[in-house]
Amino acid sequence: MLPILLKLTESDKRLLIAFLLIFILIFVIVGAIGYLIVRVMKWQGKRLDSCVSDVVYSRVITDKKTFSKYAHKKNWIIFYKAARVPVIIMLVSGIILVIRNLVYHDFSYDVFNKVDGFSTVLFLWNFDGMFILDPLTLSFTFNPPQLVHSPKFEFTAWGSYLFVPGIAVGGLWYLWCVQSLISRTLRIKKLSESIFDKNLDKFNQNEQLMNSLNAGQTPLNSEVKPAEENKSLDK
Amino acid sequence: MESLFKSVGKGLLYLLVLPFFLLVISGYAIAGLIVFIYLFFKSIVLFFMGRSLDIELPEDKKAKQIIQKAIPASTNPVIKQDGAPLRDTPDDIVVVSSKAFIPYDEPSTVEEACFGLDIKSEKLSEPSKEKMISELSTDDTKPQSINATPNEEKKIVLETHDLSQDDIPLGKYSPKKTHFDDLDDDEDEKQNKKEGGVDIHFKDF
Repeated sequence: MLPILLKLTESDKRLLIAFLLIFILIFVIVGAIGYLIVRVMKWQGKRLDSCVSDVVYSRVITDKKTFSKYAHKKNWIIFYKAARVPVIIMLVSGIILVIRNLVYHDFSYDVFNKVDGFSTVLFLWNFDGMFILDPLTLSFTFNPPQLVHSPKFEFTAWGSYLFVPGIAVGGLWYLWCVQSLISRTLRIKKLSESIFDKNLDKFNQNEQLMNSLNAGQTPLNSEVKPAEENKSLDK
Repeated sequence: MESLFKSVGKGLLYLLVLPFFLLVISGYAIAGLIVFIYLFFKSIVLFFMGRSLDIELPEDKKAKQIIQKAIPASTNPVIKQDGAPLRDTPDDIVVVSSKAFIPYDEPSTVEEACFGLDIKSEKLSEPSKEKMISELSTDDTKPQSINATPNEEKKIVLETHDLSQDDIPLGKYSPKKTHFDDLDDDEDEKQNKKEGGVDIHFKDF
């Protein structure tokens, strides 16, 4: 029944393969971006090592809890110092917008409007009706998007020209700092587990005991020495 | 083909994890903003108290003191006085003995490169340094005139050559001082005075 319903033409098959390839390409791109983010986060987390290495080498901190507390405290201070510049950029952008609104007495100003907003310097397209897929006939039509607006400099939009890039740069920079903060937090968790780790995976007490006996040594806490033991046997 | 499947699988996984990651990052962004405001006001308060919000915590100062004490005892230090690691090709290498610091220059001969600096020949070739040492070590010795005769110069060199390293004042030959040196200088000096001992060198090997 199903094969009869799914009698696809050659063009339909090609279309399906094209869609499948597009999906695979999207997943590959997302995977590559994700891999890049993971690598960047590892690199960001490594910065913590140089900040906390001294106290570990000199054994000022010798337990997991103190290390975690100390490292988190330091992590927040690093974040504060790193985030000062983006926060100042965003604050200055906000102040510029407020000044613009005060100058023009317009507090309902949309920074992205097409008349005196940031969109005046952007290309704008109309994407309506770009893909039309008819489920009954399985026909697919593609219409290219129509250009609605071309870039044009408007002097009255100076507020948005300063505000939007400022907020974008400051915001991305701040997000970068937040990502570093998360990376360092993860690194703290990992280090606090590894530095003070008392791992017994490769330790075998019986094996050590047998090795010491084979080597003719007295095992720890034994009262009878091997030489004395032999003497007692001779008697 | 395997790597392609891996990439596709990772992509799918990251797409699924993405909402959670965005949630975490936005949560941290808000928490960061709150902590930022708190630290901002704290730094203002500290500023008026004559201090600053420093990244160096009391634990760090303690660690630096421990490391600083450990460096002079080490015959081959891997870190500088300020705790920074020594590079492979530093600009000013300083040979550290247990008692005195002797500046090290580029080796001029193969023997010097292999077996180390020949201090005797170095001292003979640089009489001006020796003069300085003799001036510092002996209080009653008058400063030598610049127009001294060659015989007098030789005498001075011979006098200073007999000078033991214990007589060299430590303060004058220490490497570049850092702000960490101010922490426990007096204690270190007292300790250095108490400790006697003999210097063992293998420079004539």
